[in-house]
Amino acid sequence: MQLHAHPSARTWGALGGWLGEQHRFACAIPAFQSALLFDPDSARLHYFLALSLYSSGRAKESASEFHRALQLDPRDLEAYLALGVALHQLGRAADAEAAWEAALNLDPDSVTALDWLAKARIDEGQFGAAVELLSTSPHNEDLTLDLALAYSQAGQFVKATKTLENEFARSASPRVGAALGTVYVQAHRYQDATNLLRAALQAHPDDSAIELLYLRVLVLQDDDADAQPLAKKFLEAHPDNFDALYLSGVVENDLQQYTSAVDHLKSAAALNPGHFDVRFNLGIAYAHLKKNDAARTQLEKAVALDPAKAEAHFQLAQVLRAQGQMVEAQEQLKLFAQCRQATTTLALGQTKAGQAAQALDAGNATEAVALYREAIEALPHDATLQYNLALALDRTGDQSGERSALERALQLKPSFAEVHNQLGLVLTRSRDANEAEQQFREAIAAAPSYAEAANNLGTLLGQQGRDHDAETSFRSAVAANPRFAQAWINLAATLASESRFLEARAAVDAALRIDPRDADALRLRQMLPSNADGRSPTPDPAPVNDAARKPHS
Amino acid sequence: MPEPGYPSWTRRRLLQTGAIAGVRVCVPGLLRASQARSAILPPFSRFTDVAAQAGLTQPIIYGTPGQVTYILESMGGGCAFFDYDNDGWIDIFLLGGRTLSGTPPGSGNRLYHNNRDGTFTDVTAKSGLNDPGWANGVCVGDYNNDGLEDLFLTYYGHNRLYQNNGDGTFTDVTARAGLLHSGNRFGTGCTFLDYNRDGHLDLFVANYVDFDLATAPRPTLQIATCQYQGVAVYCGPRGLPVPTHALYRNNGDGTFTDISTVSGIDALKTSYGLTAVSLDVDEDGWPDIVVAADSTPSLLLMNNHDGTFREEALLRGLAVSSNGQEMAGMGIAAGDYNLDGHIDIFKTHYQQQSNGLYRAAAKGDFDDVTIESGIGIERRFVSWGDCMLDLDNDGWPDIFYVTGNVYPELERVFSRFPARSQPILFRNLRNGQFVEIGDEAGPAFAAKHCSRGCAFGDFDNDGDIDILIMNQNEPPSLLRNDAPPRNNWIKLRLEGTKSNRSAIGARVLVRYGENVQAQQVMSQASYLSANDPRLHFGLGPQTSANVEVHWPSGAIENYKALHPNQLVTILEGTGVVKGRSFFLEAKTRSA
Repeated sequence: MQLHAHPSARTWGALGGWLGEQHRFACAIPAFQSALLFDPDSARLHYFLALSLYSSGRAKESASEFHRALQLDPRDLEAYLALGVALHQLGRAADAEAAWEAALNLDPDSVTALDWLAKARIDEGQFGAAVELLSTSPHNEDLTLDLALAYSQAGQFVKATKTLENEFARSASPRVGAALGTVYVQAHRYQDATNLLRAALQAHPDDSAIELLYLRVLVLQDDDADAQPLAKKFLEAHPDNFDALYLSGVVENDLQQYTSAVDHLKSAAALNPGHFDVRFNLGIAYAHLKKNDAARTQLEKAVALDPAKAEAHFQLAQVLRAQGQMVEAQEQLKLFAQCRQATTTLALGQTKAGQAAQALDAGNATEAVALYREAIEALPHDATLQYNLALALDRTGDQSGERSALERALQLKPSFAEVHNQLGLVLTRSRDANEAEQQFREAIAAAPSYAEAANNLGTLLGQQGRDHDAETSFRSAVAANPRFAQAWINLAATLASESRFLEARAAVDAALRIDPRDADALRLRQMLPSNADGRSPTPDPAPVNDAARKPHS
Repeated sequence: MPEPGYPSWTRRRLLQTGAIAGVRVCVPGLLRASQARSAILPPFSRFTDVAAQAGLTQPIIYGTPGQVTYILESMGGGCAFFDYDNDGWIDIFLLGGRTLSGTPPGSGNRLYHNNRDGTFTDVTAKSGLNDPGWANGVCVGDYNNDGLEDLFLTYYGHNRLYQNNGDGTFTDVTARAGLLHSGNRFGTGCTFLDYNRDGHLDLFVANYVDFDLATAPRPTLQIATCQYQGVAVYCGPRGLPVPTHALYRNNGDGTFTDISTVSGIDALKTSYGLTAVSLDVDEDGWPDIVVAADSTPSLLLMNNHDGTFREEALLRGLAVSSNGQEMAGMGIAAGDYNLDGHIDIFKTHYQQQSNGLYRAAAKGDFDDVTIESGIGIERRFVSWGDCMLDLDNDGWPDIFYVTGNVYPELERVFSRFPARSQPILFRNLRNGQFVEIGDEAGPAFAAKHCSRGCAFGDFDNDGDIDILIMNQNEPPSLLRNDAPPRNNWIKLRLEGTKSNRSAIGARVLVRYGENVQAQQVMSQASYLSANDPRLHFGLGPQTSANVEVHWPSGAIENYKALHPNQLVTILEGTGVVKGRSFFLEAKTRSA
């Protein structure tokens, strides 16, 4: 009645809001569109229209509306967050990250922005960047899970475990329990995983994610007696679930129930034809049923999917022998032996590398260097070992050796961003500014979200008086990691040196929002003029600039 | 919107980490079903630990109890039944160790003289064999053919060759024999064998890992190879450098020449070697070598008859499990469990792994019959010294092994990984299968120790096989066997003339009733240990046996219708030596 009597932005907006609350988003869209006819510059109305569009599955149109809302109100945190999600759904990952980065500029503690951005970094394989982003973040279960994921993906299982154990002690939620159980498995702590997941399943019997994880751990531990009834139950509840089919097949193979194993594994293979283990187990089941042709087909597929898996070569050799193909069988056994030897060598190299890391942590860089060299002897093609050797050499002051190790790492992996960055630092120290700049730029090219490299590039450029370029780099650094306080301070110093005090103040305030006690930021803020006309309480901000601008290695 | 994801592992890793590929049965129900079958079988032997009353009361120091920092503290050591004074009664030799901080009183090896009354006297001091260090393995053989059994001992550090002087003393002749090596080695398995059939015993030595105490990593969760189930434990063997092994040719003048390179042995840098056994696996008359290897493929070194060896364990089915998994090979037992006249192999492995039973197929090939034999159901313990011998004299070899964890720290966290555990006995069901029997074979099977080596022999000459067990940081166990009295047996002592005097490598076929059983004289077996060199055959109800001896020289001799329940000494080329046998009737046995 009111709408007909007094149509207005307010009344149409209220209708749209009501419809949205009823999840009738398609109906809400015209309501908000009508409201906007009355008030086309309302950021909130554009925001609500965008939300309705997104919720109706019209992500592309929603992104436009979010953009419009942000043009009208550039400080709308929610709009940035939602825009990021819409862009993410549209597959525009870089644009989505830019939106979340902008959200973090507004609120460095935004859990949603940190969550999405961290996940984006992890998806890109930039685990270090994700850890850096989250290491000073406010406490939140989602962020803790992200941090643990970043650690585990980076192979730092001890840190991942500790992170999750602390969180689990705080709140034993099923999500954290599942994550902790997974990390236990990754750290080969099967018994801990079993105990944890068994208890979690008792506490949350309807949580299918926990149930599946528990089943997987039981299978992993060859606990077929417990695994089979659980697998049957899970498969009954999820008859088309890949994991249910696959794990049932594995357990049945273990229990010599090869006919049913074939049935389940064939179904699993239909769902995921490129799954090594399904092919491998299917091959074994066929072999035990004396169906050597079918076994050979599956095992050859398994070998093709992952030629580095020794056991597939071994099983294929057995089938080939059964078929009388002795020459081919012997060839597979040779490949098996090579794969096994590679495993032994890998363990040797990893152990030496672990010892080296311990030595470095203990402050014994010289011993670390020797151990890294032994590790490299075992694994000469491992670029990461070369990089770690370079870092150890850096501690010993052997710049020449460090540079050689970094160059060797780049020969092995030309797009190794951290190596480019470190080489840039080495070159900076040796006053080779042009080459250093090139290395920092290559680091950024290899990893566009690499905030450290951007900050280091900015520092180098600033030292050369190329303040505009330096500013660009610092802005890239804070965009990549809005919680990078040092980059904010460097940006502030650069802006201050150009007498852009208001912007400098904003930058230093951003640093202080991250760490209110940051000494550099507090000192710089004190030196900046407090008013818009640029009058400074201190006579000359330039020394502040030099003092504050720091590389990050 | 997508949900935040959990950390996840790939299913590839799932398989990589777990041995889920092959055939295994680990259903407790099967174990119970198997045990039920034992009720219908005739009585088995009873074993009683008589170590204390026999005078074996000194603990064997090996590392610091309950705390292992380095791998070398965990792996030792072996023991031996051997007759050092040729009095017809086997004596006892136990390898001991030390601690990281030094050699506390009681450290080192011990030699016990058999008093022929069920007791032993510690004669270590006189013998010169004490030598405290990280002793691991022992092999026995008369390397200089003087009629006295000599000892080769492996150590972390430097191995030792001890010449038996015949007067209760031994002389360290390592340097004189040319067996010194540069630098420390982690010697483990060793076996005398006459690889070139010249009548002189050569020597194979396996090494475990390349290990340096000064630089070895310590327990830490930071290194994957230094933790187990989330508990920091000693590092290795995975992650430690793989060593080479060594072969020494006996020059016939009391010296040896290192022929590791020319024989092709030191080209094999693939395996963490432990027990070494010399067997003629393809029955071509030339001794081959089997090496149990930890966490890497076990080795089968086939004799090329020209002073070189080729490695064929993978090809012949001994290297890995039936599903291609590298096992933690510890001990090796060789015996003919299915009475087909070919020697099968049983290899002990790690906890949560099945021990492996490998049935000799043809011409040196083996079939893994772990599962179908019923052996695979027992996977609780880390397993070490073992045998495949007829413990109840029923004519069918049984399987016995000792257990004990390598990580004493584990039981503080996980009760299912106890530091000490009981020995395991599988009785031969005479149909290719075994059934596990526990303390129905005596209270000794309930006693828990951290055992390593064990040796098998008839210390009381009563016609059955007793068991000597090395327990770390405890006195040894001496399990006296009281076999069912109704069963017959025969025991053979071989002496080479053209062959090496110890007759090491001699393969014997004994036929009794419808059965034929193969055994071979070995210098090392079990886990880094040496068994009574007299070959013992249970005959069940049979009252005579035909014996066929395949001497290392190539000669084949047959002895028909030998009476049971006696020791028969056979001299190569001469025949049965009169006056050197003992008879069951002289002994009192309990049922």
